[in-house]
Amino acid sequence: MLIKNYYTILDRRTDSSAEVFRVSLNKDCDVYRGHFPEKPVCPGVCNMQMIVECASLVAGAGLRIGSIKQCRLTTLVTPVDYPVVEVRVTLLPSDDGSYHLEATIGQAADVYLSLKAELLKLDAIAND
Amino acid sequence: MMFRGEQIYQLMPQRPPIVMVDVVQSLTDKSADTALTVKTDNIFVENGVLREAGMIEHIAQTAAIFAGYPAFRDGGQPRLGYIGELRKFKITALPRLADTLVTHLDLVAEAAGVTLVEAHTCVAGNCVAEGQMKVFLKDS
Repeated sequence: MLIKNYYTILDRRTDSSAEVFRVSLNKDCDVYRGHFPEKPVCPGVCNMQMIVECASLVAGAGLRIGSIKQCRLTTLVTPVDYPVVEVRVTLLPSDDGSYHLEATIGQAADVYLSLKAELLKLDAIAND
Repeated sequence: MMFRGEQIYQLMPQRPPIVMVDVVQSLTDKSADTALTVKTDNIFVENGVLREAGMIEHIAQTAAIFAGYPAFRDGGQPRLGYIGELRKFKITALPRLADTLVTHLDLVAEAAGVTLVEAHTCVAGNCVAEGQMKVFLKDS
């Protein structure tokens, strides 16, 4: 986990083509000292990183973002108002070793963040 | 105008450990230039490289500083700038410790509290990230 103590995976299930991780967001994470003082709001990039880390579990390999087609952040997520959320990941491997990712963070039918991206193996770029 | 270190706190509400802009080299109604040097205590550093989330946060804070600049110039408090959308982003390489990210941002469009910008981030003259971002401003 890049941002220590940011979240805890509670459980994981398969729902048709998606892997669904139920996670708790930790309001005591150090990042909230600065984002923002006295008003904890999940940094959008930390939620994107959480998706990448869940996708890495699905792939069984460390992944990183190569490109983002679109990422929409439609709800202001806070660890106080949204202590438990679902990370829904659909990951399709491509012939070139990259992965096509479609993912959401939300709860039931509500979507707070949606991400369409190409992910690369982390090893493949470490020596760029 | 140029801002460094804690002077940047006048321009945005983010505070350590998630301040991802070291220097604001220029700030106008149409563009902004910022920089960030990757240090060991950066929370987005892993195995000696700055992860994508840190690069995107650096660009997002540049965008928030830019979007909030008119209010600052007119004597207001820094406003919370939230990322609303990212489009057409590419992360071509991950910066390493001691690298300096240099970001140039241009205004693309602006309407009713929503600012659309395009950013390019380079390290030593090589582009490492680029993309478009929509930022929403809220009163803090």
